[in-house]
Amino acid sequence: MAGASALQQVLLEHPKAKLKVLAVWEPVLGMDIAPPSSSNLARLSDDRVEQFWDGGRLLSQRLLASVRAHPERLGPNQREPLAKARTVWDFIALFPSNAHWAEEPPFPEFSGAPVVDVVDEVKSRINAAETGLKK
Amino acid sequence: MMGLSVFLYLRYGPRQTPPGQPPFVRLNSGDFQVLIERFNSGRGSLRVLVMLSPT
Repeated sequence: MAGASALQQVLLEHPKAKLKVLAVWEPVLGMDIAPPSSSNLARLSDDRVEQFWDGGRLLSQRLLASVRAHPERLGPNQREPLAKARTVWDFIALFPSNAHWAEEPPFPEFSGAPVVDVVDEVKSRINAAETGLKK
Repeated sequence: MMGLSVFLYLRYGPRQTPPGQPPFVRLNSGDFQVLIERFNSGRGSLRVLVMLSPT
């Protein structure tokens, strides 16, 4: 939940950045028996956001399958945690403007978790994209 | 009975997204393609994918 609020703050600070945000909510903890309430959805209030409920954690499964199929794309410190991971969550990824999702999800230009820990890097990259600078 | 009604409402009741956003989408294996299409429709923009837990 803190991740949603942190991302909303970044969006507020970059109102003109050309972005599309896909927010995928999924059950992770034992109390996650239902999709987020409308008040929780309101934590991401920016109109560049689209929100989804992935009750079967389908996206998580696809991302894990993709990175395990291409370990060469990962840094050494990413391989071990991903080998053990069962669910991808509290996670954020940025994809360049030409990224296309075909059979497999494209590889992000940046990703990290938990969201609150990497939000400064996200902000920096959005800022760079907004000003036309390539980071 | 009341508990069941509350549970069903929490689980399946309508969700309202904030103004300006498309309606909330519940993904399943049959319509996961919706997410892929929404992703690809943003070509030309930086795409941000965030995965969150509701609690």
